[in-house]
Amino acid sequence: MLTSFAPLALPSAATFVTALPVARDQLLIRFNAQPTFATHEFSGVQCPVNMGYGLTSRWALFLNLNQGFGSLTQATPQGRAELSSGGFGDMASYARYTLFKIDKPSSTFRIAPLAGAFIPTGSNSLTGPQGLLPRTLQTGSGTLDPYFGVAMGYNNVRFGMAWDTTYRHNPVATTGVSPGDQFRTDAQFEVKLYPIHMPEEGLPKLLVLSIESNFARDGKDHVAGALAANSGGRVFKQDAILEISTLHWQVGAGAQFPVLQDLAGTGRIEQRSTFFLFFEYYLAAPNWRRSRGR
Amino acid sequence: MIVRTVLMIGAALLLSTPVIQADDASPRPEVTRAVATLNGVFSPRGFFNITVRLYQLSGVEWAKFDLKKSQITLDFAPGVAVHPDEIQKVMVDAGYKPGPVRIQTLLPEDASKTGPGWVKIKHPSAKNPLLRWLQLNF
Repeated sequence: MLTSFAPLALPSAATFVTALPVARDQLLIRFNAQPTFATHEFSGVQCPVNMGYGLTSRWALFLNLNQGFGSLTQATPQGRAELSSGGFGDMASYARYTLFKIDKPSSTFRIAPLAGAFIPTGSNSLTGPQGLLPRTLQTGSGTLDPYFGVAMGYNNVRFGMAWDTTYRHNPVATTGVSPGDQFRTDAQFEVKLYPIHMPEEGLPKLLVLSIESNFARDGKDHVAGALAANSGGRVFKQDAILEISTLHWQVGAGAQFPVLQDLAGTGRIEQRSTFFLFFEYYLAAPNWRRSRGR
Repeated sequence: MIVRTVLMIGAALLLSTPVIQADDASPRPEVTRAVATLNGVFSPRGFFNITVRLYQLSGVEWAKFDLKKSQITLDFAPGVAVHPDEIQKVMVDAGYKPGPVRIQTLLPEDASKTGPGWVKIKHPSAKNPLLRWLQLNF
């Protein structure tokens, strides 16, 4: 579950963090909570923490920590069985470089490629009474997974847009469950709803509506090195999020609706509508360059 | 006797008045105000990106952010001068393309220190980097 649902948390916008603006010496921390209730037999909660650090005005480093809990009711020859798992999932670490930017008094536009890896801090070999737990309850991929992509953002005083496309390559592990490669693309459109008329002076608290879309195409999983037929597929989700934004923090709550779930195989668990919360706080990073910076 | 004492006190007060007036008339240090256009800043997060660099500008005491104009106004301590290049460097370091910077001088009483959008700029001074970081953020 942690591997299959973690991408919801990973990628600025609320549902993806690859396009988050981070300045030099800025430390950004985002706490997320994403419960999943009664998705057929599945329920769980994910609490990813996203951290961004501006190394220079163009280079930013990101670290995404994933942790959570999942529970699954599965039919077995002996009757229905309750399976569960929890703990840390794989940790994503990547660097982003702002390759192209146009800053105008009325708008800003950026394109930034990114590259890094998922570090196997989770486990792909968790077991239950009947042996290996299904992929939805595994917390990691078991391998170091290269991760790369590109993010783009546009903003003006009233509207904003962000987009990313990423690819995660999951090498096949000889043991446990290896998730298939994942191609993902996300888009966001946001509008500042309040204040309706922006004051001539000052920095008001903003109420923002963000509409986001997430598409993911998963390759076939492997179990102990063998291809798993009941795996892979395409999922498209639509999100609506309300955010309150101030000089130092941002808080948001949103709902997510699956629009398309083209899952290969039989007996696959489909995701239902869910909601999520996030709180983001901005800090100045420790400035070790004090004497030189002045 | 009483009349003489009153006259002496009155004379002393009259004589002392010009001294007080002379103090008021002495030139007082003016406040430098810099008004800068920020290209590409349209969110509180963007202004935060600038704020975290402002503490490195000596003497800047207050900052006001105007989201609609994408503009920042900086008031410096009385007597502190600033060059537009220093302010533009802050913007570049924060990752933004600086716009024009206007420098004005004001009487201290004309400097806006409170009101919508004005933020007090911290200047952490601790030698220990961790304490300095805590002073800056909390």
